[in-house]
This record gives sequence, C-alpha cells and structure tokens, in this order.
Amino acid sequence: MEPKLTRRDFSEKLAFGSFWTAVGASVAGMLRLLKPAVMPEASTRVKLGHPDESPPGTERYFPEHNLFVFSEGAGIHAISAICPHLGCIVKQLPEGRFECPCHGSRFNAAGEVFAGPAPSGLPWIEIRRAPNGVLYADTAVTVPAGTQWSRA
Amino acid sequence: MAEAFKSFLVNLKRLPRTFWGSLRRRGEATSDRARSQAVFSNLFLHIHSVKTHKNSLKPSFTLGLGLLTTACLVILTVTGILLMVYYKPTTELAYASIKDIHFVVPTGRMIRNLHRWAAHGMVIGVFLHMARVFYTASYRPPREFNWFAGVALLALTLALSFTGYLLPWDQLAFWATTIGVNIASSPRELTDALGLTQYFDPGGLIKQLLLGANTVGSEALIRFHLLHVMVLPIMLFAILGVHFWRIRKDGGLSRPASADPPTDGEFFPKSETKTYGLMAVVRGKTPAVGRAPENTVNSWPHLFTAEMAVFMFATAVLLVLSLTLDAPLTEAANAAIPENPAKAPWYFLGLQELVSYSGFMGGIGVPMITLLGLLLIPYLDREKGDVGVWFSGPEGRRVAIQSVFYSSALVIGLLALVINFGWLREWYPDIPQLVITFVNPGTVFTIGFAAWSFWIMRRHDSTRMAAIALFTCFLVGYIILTYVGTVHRGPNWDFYWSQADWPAH
Ligand code: HEM
Ligand code: FES
Repeated sequence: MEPKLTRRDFSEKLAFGSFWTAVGASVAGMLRLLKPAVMPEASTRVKLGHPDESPPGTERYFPEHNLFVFSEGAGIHAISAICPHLGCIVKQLPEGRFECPCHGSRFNAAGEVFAGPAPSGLPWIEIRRAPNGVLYADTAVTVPAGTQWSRA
Repeated sequence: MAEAFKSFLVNLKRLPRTFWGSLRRRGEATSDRARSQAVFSNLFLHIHSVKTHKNSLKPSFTLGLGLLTTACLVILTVTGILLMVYYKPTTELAYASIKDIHFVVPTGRMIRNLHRWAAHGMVIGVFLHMARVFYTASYRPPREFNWFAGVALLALTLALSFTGYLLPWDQLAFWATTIGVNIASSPRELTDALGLTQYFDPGGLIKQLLLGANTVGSEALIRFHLLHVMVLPIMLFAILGVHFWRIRKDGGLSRPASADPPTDGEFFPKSETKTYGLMAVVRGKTPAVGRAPENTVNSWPHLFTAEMAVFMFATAVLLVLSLTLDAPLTEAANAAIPENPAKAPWYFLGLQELVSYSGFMGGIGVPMITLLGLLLIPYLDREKGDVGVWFSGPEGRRVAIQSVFYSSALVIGLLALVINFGWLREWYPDIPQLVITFVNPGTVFTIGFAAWSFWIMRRHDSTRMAAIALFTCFLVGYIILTYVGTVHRGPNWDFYWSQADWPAH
C-alpha cells in the first residue's frame, strides 16, 4: 500500500515548495532586467533624397546603414548589405553580384544566394516617400524581394 | 624601574619574533609532524591533504597539466586586475585605453602580453588536462562529478576568452564578436526555415540578452566587460573550489591499483612520534584504508615544491613569450567594413570552419552534441579496474591509434572534397534550406565518429574502448579543423596553402 502523506511530510513539502517557488520567481524577475525594452540603436531611417537625385540606371551606397539603393526605369529598390549568414558586410563585385568576405556567401544582383552558407538572400528594404516628396528607407523593415518604390 | 615598563621594553624588543610566532601558531616547522600540523591548520595550505600519494607526484601521470592551468589562471587574475586600472569599457575610450596600456603605461605592454599569452596557455592547458584525465580513466566513480565540474570549467574558460576578445574594441574584436554572437543566435536559421520566428525566437532572445541591442555596440561592450571581469570569474572560482574540494573528498588523485601493493599484515608501523587522526570519512580508497601509508609522502615539502616548480615553469615560459611577442591590436572597430578574414581566437577557428557551411549545425548543433557527450562519458562508461592506467592498457592504446587514423582520414578526406568541389549548394542549387542547415560536414563527422565508436564497442565488447575511440576522434577532428581554419583560410574564407599567397588588397 502507498504510504500515506503525513501531516509533517505535507508541511515540509509545502515549505520547500514555497521556498523554491520564491527563488524561481525572484530569479525570473531579475532576468527580465537583462532584456532591453528599448533598443539603444541609432535611427534605422535612411534619407535617400528626392527621387530625381537617383536617376534610372544609378546606384548609391550608404555605408553608415549598410544599404545599397538601385534606381531603374520603373522604380527604386534598396538591398541590405548585411549578410544573413553571420552578419558581415557584403561587397559588390563589378558585375553586380555580391560577395561576403567572412565565409564566402555569394548573391546575385537581386540578392539571391547561390553559393555559400547564407540561409537566405540579402534582405530587401522598404522605401517610402514622405509627404514632402523625399524618399526614406527603414533598414528595420524588410519587404519581399522584388518590391520596388515605383515611379508611377 | 617599574616592572611593567621593563616587560614593555622586553616585549617591544621581541615584537618581530612574537608577531611572527602568532602568525605561525606552531613555531618552526622542522619535523614532518610539525609540517603536517602546519598544512591542516593553515587556511591556504589545507586545500591540500597532509599526505600525498607518490603516484600523484609522478610527472608522467598528471603531466602537471591541471596545475599549469591553475598557474595560468593565477597569472590571468593578477594581470587582469592590473589592466583594469587603465582599461575603460566604453566604445569611445576602450580602444584608446588599450593603446595607452600598450604604448604609454609603464610595464603596460608586458602586463597586456602576459594576460594574452596566459589566456592562450589556459585554454591549451584545460584541453590537455581534460585529455589526460580522460585517457587515464580518472573519471571513474567516485570522480564522475568532478569530471562534470571540469566540463563546466572548460566551458567557462572558453566563455572568458570569448568575452575578453571584444574588450580591445579593435576591428578583429568587433567582427569576431559579431560573428560569434550571430552563431549564438543561429537557432533563428532553424525557426526561419520552419516559419516560426514570429512566434518563437530563441535565437533573437539570446542575441538581445548578450548584446543588449541588435548589433554589437556600447551595451554589448558593457555586458561583455561585466561578464569578463566579474560574472564568469566568480563562477569559475566557485566551481574550481568545488573541483579542488572534490579531489580531496574523492580520496586524492586516481591511481592504478598497482600503485598500492598490499602489505603483509601490519598496516601501521609503530612510531613514537606519528599518530593518525580521522579527519573525515571520504569515499574511495584513501592511503589509509587497507593499505600501508608507506606509499605516501608528506605534502610539505614534496607536493609543494612540485607545485612551485610548475608555477615557476609557467611564469618563465609566459615571460619569455611576452618579451618576444606582442599581443595583437588592429585598427579601431569599424562597423561598416568587416575585417577580412575576420578570425575568432584560434581555438574557435575549427568551429568557424564548420560555421562556414551552415551556422546552426556548425555553431550550435555539433558543439552542443560534443559537450553533452563529454558530460555523459563517466555515466555511460562504468567499467572497472583500469583507473589511473594510461589508455587502460595496450588494447586502448591500439584503439586510440586506429581512431587517429580513422578520424584523420575522414576529416581530411571530406574537407579536401569540399574545398575542391564545394558543398551542397554548389552541387544542387535548389536544395531546401533545412537540408543545408542540418547537413554540415560537421554532422557527417559526428555520425562517422559515432558509427566508428559503436563498431569498436561491438568488436572489443567494451564501453571504455568505445569511449576512447569517440574521444580520440573528436580530439583529432577538433585539431584538424582548427589547423585548417587557422593556417589555410584567408580572405573570403578561401583556401590558401599559406598566408604568403593571400591576395594583396
Ligand atoms: C579551469 C580549468 C581547470 C583547472 C584549473 C583544473 C585543475 C585541476 C587540478 C590542479 C587537478 C589536480 C590533478 C592534475 O593536476 O591533473 C585536477 C584534477 C582533475 N580534473 Fe581538473 N581542472 C580544470 C578543468 C578540468 C576539466 C575540463 C576536466 C574534465 C572535463 C577536469 C577533470 C578533472 C578530474 C576528473 C580530476 C581528478 C583527476 C584524478 O583524480 O586523477 N578538470 N584539476
Ligand atoms: S557572414 Fe557572410 S558568409 Fe558568413
């Protein structure tokens, strides 16, 4: 037969149980401190200027934001230079492809990965036009590859 | 003259002697008995037992490796405190303060070099010490838990060097840390591939906890500094205390049964001056259980001189290194231009090699499996009778040698293939990401090593032989990958026979 839980066993279990619960709750409470509520980063908004500053067929690079901006006839798109593998900054090769110096991931001109360890392509970044007509990109907002700000 | 005044003068004259005497309560330790008393009544000496087994003093048994690691740790602590006098953990000042330490502060360069080389020494020491404990089967009961504590010490040692690497805030530091932290957050590679990241993002959480942000910046520097000078050292010293304590409670170091020949009848020789008191009941065979005490010697002087010799050896080697080789310092950190190649410290370059095929399996999967395997060794191999014998005898030595050949062939063969012909994505461009994530060359090695180990287990009908096979394979794999990552990888992580062939930029 199962031995009965005596009153003393019960209060002991209760005592230890509440002790460990208190310890657990305090530790969990303290750990919350470590998770930042506000990311202390510089603004992720990049001012690209008026669309006329990027005539079709040109491209620009914004090193502080690691951002490529390409302008074509139909529209303008932005591709992040941060490698989706482990965060190095890719280089653009003369033929328009991108190459990561850290573990050799290679991307085509549209940012799709075709060699190396990167788990996905280079992220495309959203471009918006502010009411005053100036274009902005926000490197924190990605969009599906192929999304352009269209001139139309 | 008043009596009191006279005795005051006498006391004053004797002061140096009486003060010294009060420090060393038992007077000059001229006899073995007095030295034994001194050892166990002194806070700092009493982590040693009074008597040490002769086998533990044989350099061919411990190779002095645990002590060498301890010596490096002491040097690291002292030089680290000195560096903290000038080091400033802010992104604006860190790099300049290291430069000051290196070029302006008196003896600063020497202290910095010592800290750097002792860190390398400690990592080498802890790996070799673990190998010696493993190959002499010293993890056997009752020492399983001390092996467990040891693995924690290994992880802490590596964590200390990783966090320290960021502090100079130079290009190498910044990019190695960026890569390292992204490895830690690579579970995201998995959740992304499964489409779960929006709901469940452990990778992102790890990253935010480590960096206090999404990128390496001032919050990260503060957190790494705090970990490096405070959190990790406290943990390391606490566990090291347990480690040393357990050595004593487990009955001293392990030793082969042959080290204590049974005596004929009379265990304790009659002696006028020696008495043995029971200080504590410990598990395992202490020199005094069923054996004559004659195989032990007094720790003072035999163990202490050996320890001092190891400490002096470590200090001498590190001094020579620090006088001849300067710790590196590249340009100040620049978040726009990655260092190329951005190499982590050498002991992580094997990992970096694996990570260059896929982040998650190479950086988290394989290392976690390895760590778990290490932790479990003493619980899964519980054979008896070979404690304290190198390789458990000739059979184990053969298994170890065969394993060296097997694992070298597997690792070098696959790496040569991959370096010449690429890996999955080059062969099948449309392969699903999950396959790339999981099928890393490291995965192939792990499976190959495990299969070999099971085969050895069957052939020799022994878990110990299987353990020797597995441990040896992983050790060899680690060494070869580290070597390739260190020597043969250059810009873009391309393969080069030597650094002389790197393209000039
Ligand atoms: C901070 C790192 C470490 C330090 C400072 C350290 C220090 C020591 C020292 C001084 C000894 C005495 C014997 C000797 O010198 O070989 C020892 C013994 C031992 N160590 Fe460590 N150790 C460390 C890490 C490890 C690791 C990584 C392992 C294994 C995973 C380990 C497992 C053991 C075991 C099982 C013993 C008892 C060996 C025996 O009885 O023969 N230690 N350690
Ligand atoms: S960080 Fe780009 S390939 Fe590894």
